Amino acid sequence: MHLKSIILLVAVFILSCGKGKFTNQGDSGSIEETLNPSENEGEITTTESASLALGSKLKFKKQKLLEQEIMTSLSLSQNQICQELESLNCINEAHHLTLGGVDAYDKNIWENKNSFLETTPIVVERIVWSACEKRVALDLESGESKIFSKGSVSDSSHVGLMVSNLYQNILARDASENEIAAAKEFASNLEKNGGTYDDWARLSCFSLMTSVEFLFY
Amino acid sequence: MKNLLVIWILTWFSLLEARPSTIVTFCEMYPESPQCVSGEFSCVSCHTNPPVNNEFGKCVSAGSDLWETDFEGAVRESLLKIENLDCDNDGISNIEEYLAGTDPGVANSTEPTTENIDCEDRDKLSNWNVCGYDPVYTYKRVSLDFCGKKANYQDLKVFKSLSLSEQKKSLSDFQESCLNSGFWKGRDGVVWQMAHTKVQPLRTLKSGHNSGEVPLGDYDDDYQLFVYYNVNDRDVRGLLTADHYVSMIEGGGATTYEAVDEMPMRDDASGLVLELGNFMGKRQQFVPKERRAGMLTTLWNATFRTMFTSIPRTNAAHAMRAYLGLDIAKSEGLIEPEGDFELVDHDNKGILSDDCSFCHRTLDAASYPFTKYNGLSFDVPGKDIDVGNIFDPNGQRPDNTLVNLIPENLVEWYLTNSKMLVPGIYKPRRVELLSEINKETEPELSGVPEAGYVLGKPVANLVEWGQVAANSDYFVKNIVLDYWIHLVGSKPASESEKNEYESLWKGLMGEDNYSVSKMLKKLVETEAYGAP
Repeated sequence: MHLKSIILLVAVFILSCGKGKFTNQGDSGSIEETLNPSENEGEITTTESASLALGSKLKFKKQKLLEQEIMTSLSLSQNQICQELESLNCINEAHHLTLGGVDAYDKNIWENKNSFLETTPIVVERIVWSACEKRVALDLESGESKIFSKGSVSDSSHVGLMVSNLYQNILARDASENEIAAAKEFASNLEKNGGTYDDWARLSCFSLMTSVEFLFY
Repeated sequence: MKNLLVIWILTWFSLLEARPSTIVTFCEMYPESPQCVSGEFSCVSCHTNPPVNNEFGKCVSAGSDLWETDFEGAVRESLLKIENLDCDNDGISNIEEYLAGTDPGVANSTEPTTENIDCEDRDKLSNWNVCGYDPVYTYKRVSLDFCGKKANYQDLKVFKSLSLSEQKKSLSDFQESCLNSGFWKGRDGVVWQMAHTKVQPLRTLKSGHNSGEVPLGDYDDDYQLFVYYNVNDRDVRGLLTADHYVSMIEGGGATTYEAVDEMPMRDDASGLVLELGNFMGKRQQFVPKERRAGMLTTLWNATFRTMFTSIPRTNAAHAMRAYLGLDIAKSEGLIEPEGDFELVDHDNKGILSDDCSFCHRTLDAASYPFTKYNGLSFDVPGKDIDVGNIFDPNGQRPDNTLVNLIPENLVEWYLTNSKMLVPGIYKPRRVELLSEINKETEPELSGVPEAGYVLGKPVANLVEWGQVAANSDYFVKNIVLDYWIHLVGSKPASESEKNEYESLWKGLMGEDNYSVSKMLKKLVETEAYGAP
């Protein structure tokens, strides 16, 4: 619970300021410090398209598109992604307006202009975290191995292979050498701070799926 | 625990006081700033650690009082106000720093923060051709925008392996297939959803599929007409000129639309639509063919927008806003009618005062052609029609409802020659009858002409209104703008975007023969859409 709170806090800062990062804290102490980007120097970007190209018009993948992206990227069905109160579909029922959808027939919300609500970043993270947890559980506990296969954070080459899978499935491209190196460094730091392979898998998935490159197009 | 609480509070506060939308607003106002070109303008341009302001952020914050009520307005007001100030006291004004690419919140920032904004250098760091149009980037966008699906790793790998000319063809074919997909043209697809602001649905008043409690019209007819003219190379002017309706056939994963002369009453019709439909020969649209003007003359338009008003100003204003992009409420489209137009207060609403007439000269002139199309009045003078139970699906229809009053073989004659007014019909005597019904409040109503004006030009009736409007520049500009905003993400901002937009709307009314499909093929080839 404590780890999840810190991750969510960090992700809020990451998402709102527009760059996704793995951090490289070297030998510093706790997981909290490792994950807190505000005190880092020498950040290594996960996506080589480092700048938010404001000369272009990046659009947020609203509601249905976000759902499609998550389903395709993580090979999940609609109902596997996220449910609020175990019954409401997060994307189509509970948070459809927050994610940029409309409610034309009953609430007269005929359009949803390209602006975010205050809760949009948190809702996105909530949904992505749920989806990543599900994928990791299915892969590592039920043995589906669609993206992750069983391994260890100390096995660098296995980590590299998993990172490649992640990038190909989520961002539809190959990871660069820098990105693979950053992911391996992250795994190594996580291990030093008591994190497990499952933790690494969930956090890596979450980090990529809350990046600008994934959420915008 | 206390630290965690503090962090949570600051985080929540930061969500309120430090917004990513500020970056977008800044770059819309100063697109030529090197920091916008490179993407360096970010949260840290105004903040040290959000929401804590740096010197520039303090200036911005002090520049407006609108933060609580209109955040974006406050950003715009403040940035303009502080242009000539020097917030970091380095001897260079803010506006000079924006344009030079230096940091207006940092005193020792006198050199551009972006070391090199040269295209080729940026290109090396990127997966995209950031110097111009990138077909691979465009392919990803087209896949999402037109097909609603992710371009996966394998798809992109295959596409990247093609030559440039092969990529262009592949992209065009791919887009074509997507334009026929359910995601694009099906019920609640992209085009259908673009019609929401035109149709303005309200389920409570709907008959048919997914009906409501007080069925007054079936707006599915409107959506179907809208989609029909926006797909498959059809002439989009039909939105305002069509003399037919459109039925939709769903099944086998595909959606097709078919033009029909008359709209048959649906099996699940209810309420007013059922009552009228049974009376009018099992139809659910009642305007005669020669009096139809596309989206302007549907039953939904009559019952939802004209409603009980004698002079349907709401209907005219909505048509101008929805189809011409001219919002009279914002004083747009106030074009003086040609010739000797005299504004008359036919319905006694006080429109002749100076404060009112400068809008009503346009609005009333545009409204007159709508006055022959009846809204919600339900009258047979001399007869007392009980309509209450027709909205109760379990209720008994009273003996004195329409179906029981007039023999079926006399309906057409009666509608034409009698004083009967029912919803959704075209009735030349409408204003005369309403002036009789409303003689206490609107005694001068019978003087309202059918002829009026649109965009300053005289028109004899609503059919001509639709033709003049559909053939105007405003109409095509509005069509293209709707798609531009949806696909590109915002209105045309830079000079090059404005040029591309202009080329598209002129093409739509020129070599593209009003085909939205053709226009969309060109839109996808613009730099605004396809340059990362």
